[in-house]
Amino acid sequence: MASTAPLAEQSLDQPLVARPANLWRDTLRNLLGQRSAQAGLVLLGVVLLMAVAAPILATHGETTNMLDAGETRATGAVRNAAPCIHLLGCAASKSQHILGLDSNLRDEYSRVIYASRVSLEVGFFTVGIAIIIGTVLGAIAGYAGGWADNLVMRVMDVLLAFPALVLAIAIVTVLGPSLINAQIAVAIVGIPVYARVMRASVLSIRERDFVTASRALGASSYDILLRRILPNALTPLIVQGTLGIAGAILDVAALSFLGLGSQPPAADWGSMIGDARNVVFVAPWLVLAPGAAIAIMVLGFNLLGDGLRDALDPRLNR
Amino acid sequence: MSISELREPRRRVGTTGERLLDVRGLRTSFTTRDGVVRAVDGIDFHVNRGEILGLVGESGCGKSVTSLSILRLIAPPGRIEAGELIFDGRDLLKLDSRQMRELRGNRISMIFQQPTSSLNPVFSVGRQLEEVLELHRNMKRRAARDRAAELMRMVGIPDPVRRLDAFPHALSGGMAQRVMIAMALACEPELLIADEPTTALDVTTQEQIIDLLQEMQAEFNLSIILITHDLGVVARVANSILVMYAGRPAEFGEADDIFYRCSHPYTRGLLDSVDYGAYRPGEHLHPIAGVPPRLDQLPPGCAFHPRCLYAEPICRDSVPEFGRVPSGHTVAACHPALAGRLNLHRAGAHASGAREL
Repeated sequence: MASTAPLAEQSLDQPLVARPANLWRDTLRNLLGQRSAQAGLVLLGVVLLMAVAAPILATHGETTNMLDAGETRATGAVRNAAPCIHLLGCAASKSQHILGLDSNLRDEYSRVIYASRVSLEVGFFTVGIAIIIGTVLGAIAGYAGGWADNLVMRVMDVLLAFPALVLAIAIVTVLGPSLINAQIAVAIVGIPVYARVMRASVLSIRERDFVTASRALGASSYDILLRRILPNALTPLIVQGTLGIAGAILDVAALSFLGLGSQPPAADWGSMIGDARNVVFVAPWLVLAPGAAIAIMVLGFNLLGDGLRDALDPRLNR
Repeated sequence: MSISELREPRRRVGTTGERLLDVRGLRTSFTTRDGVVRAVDGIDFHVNRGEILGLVGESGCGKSVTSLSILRLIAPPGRIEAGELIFDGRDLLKLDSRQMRELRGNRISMIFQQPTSSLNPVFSVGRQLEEVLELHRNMKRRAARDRAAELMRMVGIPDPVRRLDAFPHALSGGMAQRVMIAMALACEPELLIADEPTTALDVTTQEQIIDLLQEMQAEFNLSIILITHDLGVVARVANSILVMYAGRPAEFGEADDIFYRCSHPYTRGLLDSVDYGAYRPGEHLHPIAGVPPRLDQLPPGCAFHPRCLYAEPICRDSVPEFGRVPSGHTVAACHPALAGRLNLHRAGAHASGAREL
């Protein structure tokens, strides 16, 4: 086919674009320009470093009993031993334990480090499952409408009607206590939030002009939902998901605290707090250390989530 | 200057007189809380191959619903109640949804009023063009990209290869409409429905887009249904015209018949209410008094009678049939139309200011 020459008046109509915009690059730039997001990224960086470099950072094994490691009562291997740091004047005759020992004579510091892996995995896995299921359900409800919408959303309402933790406890009780079951339970509890976010996005996006336009160009419902609506609905999901990770970590930690999640001897911040709760006045560091770790991680995700919300908000962008 | 001066002898590019689309008795209604509203109530018209049909009327008269009905894109609670949409010998209303989907964007395309919001904001325009080609032509990504650049050049976008990576928000309205036209024409359709393609654009850009549409029509022997408020545009490009009022057809025929020998009082009113020259002292436009009726509160009889200069008691009592008038085009046959006395009457009505059309 012969192509027509550009019209002379074209230059009038030509927008001034230095280079094409890129959604992800713009978002990243916006994100890095924010104080709260910067703080969140630093905190999460610390946690990520702990998880990745755990074998290097940890001084002892995750589950190693110090008596098995060759220490004796004389070198300080007693239950709930206080932190002993040589630099801070702890006697050289005692072996060094930065955060002391727990009631099973394990090095608390090493356990806190290793447990970061569990918490990260818990956060992403739980929210991942919840987002996938919630998105599918919400998309179906929003796009199909009618009875499908009613059915899905009423089930979601029922789920939301229970206090989250109570429902999670009930689910774990049925499935049996283990870390994976705790995650499944928390994921199930989290589904309604994502389903609602997705449904709301679908409902508003499906009425937008470009959806009608692509339908007029022959796109199928499948195309419309997956390639037109979903990419446009991603923003609130990402924000909700980031904030949700914090909540999920807290919930799983709570289940572990109650003994329904992570099982001994595995290290997990929630169960470490739970194990040490009887000695909180004798050895507060055993509660404070994993507690602070949880707080740092949750704060990091919350700050990042807030930052993402602002960075992805088109009204603030341009 | 009057409208007649804007009209030039039509270029009949590749016109064979063959009917591409024949709409018969189309009726589309929407169910609302207050009952069923007929947005389009029995319209008949046809589009010949390689011709431009101008679809004119005030806001809310059913122009857009008509066009969406042709593509069967009326979403619930709307539905097409009756009629036939014969496209190239097949009734579109009898196709299943998969066949219909293959037709959309492939043989019948549509462009919309708001070009920037008609593009998906999260993908580059190149990607969106590629998708159409991948969808209907099974093209591979690479080939689709080359073809996309070619299409962008065809619709007059400068530096098309670089523009492929531009996102919709970075384009001006005119550019975005060009991209939409490129997408609509990617698969070389036979019919393009342009729903007020220039309404959202500024005046100089409007000209360019209309020129582009005309160019494309000549190049592909395309038929176009051009929906617009702008009688000037219609006068310039249309081969035939359908005038709608309150969901019903007022007049349909060759553009020349409508402009020079219009028979319906509403058409007359539309033509009198626009002026395409500089204002001259002492000359007045004659707007149609009042506003279009709400579709759920149509007046009895002819929907136009409360605003009609020629209204008589009979107009309240019966809905005029759509039929032929002596000049050959079809018209809602109300009494002035039948009597053929519209122009005479009119000349007397506005003796001093009247312009001969």
